[in-house]
Amino acid sequence: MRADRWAARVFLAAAVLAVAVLGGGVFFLAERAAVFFSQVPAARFFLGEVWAPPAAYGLLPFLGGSLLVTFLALGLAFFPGLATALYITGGGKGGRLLRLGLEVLGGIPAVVLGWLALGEILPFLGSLTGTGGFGPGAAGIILAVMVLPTFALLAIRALEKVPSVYREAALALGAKPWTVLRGVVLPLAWEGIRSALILAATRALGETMAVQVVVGNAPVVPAGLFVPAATLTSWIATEMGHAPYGTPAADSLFALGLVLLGLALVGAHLARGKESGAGG
Amino acid sequence: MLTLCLMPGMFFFTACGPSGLRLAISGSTALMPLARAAAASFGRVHPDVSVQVTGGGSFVGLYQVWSKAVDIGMADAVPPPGKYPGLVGWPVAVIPYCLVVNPDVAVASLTRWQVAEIFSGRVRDWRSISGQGLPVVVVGRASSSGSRLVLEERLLNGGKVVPRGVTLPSSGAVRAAVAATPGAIGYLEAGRLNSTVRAVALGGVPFSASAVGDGKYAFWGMGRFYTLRSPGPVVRAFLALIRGRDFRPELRRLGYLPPVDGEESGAG
Repeated sequence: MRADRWAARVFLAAAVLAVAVLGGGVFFLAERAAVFFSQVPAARFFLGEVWAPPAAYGLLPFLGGSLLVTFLALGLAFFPGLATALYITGGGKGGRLLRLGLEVLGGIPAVVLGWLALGEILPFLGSLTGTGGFGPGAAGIILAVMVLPTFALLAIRALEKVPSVYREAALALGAKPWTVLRGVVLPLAWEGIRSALILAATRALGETMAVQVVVGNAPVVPAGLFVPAATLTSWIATEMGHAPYGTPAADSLFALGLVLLGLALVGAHLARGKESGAGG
Repeated sequence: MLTLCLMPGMFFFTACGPSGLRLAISGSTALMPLARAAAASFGRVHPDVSVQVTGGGSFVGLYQVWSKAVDIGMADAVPPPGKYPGLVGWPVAVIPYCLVVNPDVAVASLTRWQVAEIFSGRVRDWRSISGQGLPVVVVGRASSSGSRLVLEERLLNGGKVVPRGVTLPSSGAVRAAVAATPGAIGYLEAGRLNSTVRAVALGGVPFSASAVGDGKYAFWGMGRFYTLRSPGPVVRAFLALIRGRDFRPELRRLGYLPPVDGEESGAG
């Protein structure tokens, strides 16, 4: 009884601490961002297309860059990821090995992929397009490699939730494997796959290291896939060490951080809503 | 109840301020090799003092020394007027910079005018300069990095680097990107030159220590160590070592030059 009470207290303390640390982080972010918005009108920040401190602080170059690389990564990773998940859950040959491979791929540090991209992918894209190769295109490719394991592993989980009796029943009724897949398995797992996609999107959105190396970090609205641009995260990381603390240049980075947090929260909310909808 | 009181405290409030036996230095990555070498020399004379050198950038160093998180802030940029009052800047080294190109770019020297045309984004390919049909890829540092400020001040007459250029967070990353990208041009500390990139002469003058000393090579910045107005004995001893004559051979070996005589403390 006594032990129970102590355990409850320890857990409560841990929970309070966790919430306090997270809340403190958000509060700090919001506080610096508030200082920024007291100097720069919110409308000029949210609708601004030009980033040229101290004259102009426009969000759109970074928001555009972040959304572009994220959608690019999802577009590139969706079909290979889904196909891999279907192959593995369908009991294909070497499925276990493939799954292990996905887990290993998911564990490769971002910075390693970034340097790989710098040495291999950029020169290749550069020679193909007659540019330096830096830009949202390269970032999208490297992010696709990074989110593919996340997406595929979550999609496997969603597909595994489909009760095998449904599959067997459909097969017993004479449906072809393709029909079972399209008519039974995918519709039932779809909500889970969608939330897997959204979680992969939030991972792509938050990824910094690999993107920073290849995206070019040019604070301009993306003008093409192979022209330098910047994302919210890559810009924060690039400027962080250099902007004098307490100046609008540094506070603007907190405002960008707040936007990023907002996007991540929207993503988390969407993913949770879909999952609970599917799970019932 | 005891657990409740102890748990948060133990992990999060073990801050340690500047103490007598610990010398913390942070700031400009351009000055890190210098601080590390001085720390090694210092350790031989004062084995009881542990010196910690970390990077972060000039303004991180300035902020941290101003907020008393570290004892010395390294900076190759001067603090904005009115920011960080009460700091004293001690010139420790002239940091020479070089323009570097990808080895494929057949350019040995650039004039001031060409440099301005390239970094302002007006020249988009190398045709008019080297006759090559390669795109110019400008690679550089963040908009408030010390290196970039030096470039804009010394070579672009205060003009700004084109925002479309590739921006990377460190000299090492700039060097790697220039080495890997055909048509790339960037800038870095002379101490970071290696065979993967090619240094370009400025107006026919290649980088050399004597060219900087004679005033023929203009691409350099002043590295300063910032402290509070009356630093403690350990900080003073460290500054004396790094600014002393005996340390100069080491300073030159690392690619820096001793500060010009007569320049004492910088912005306060």
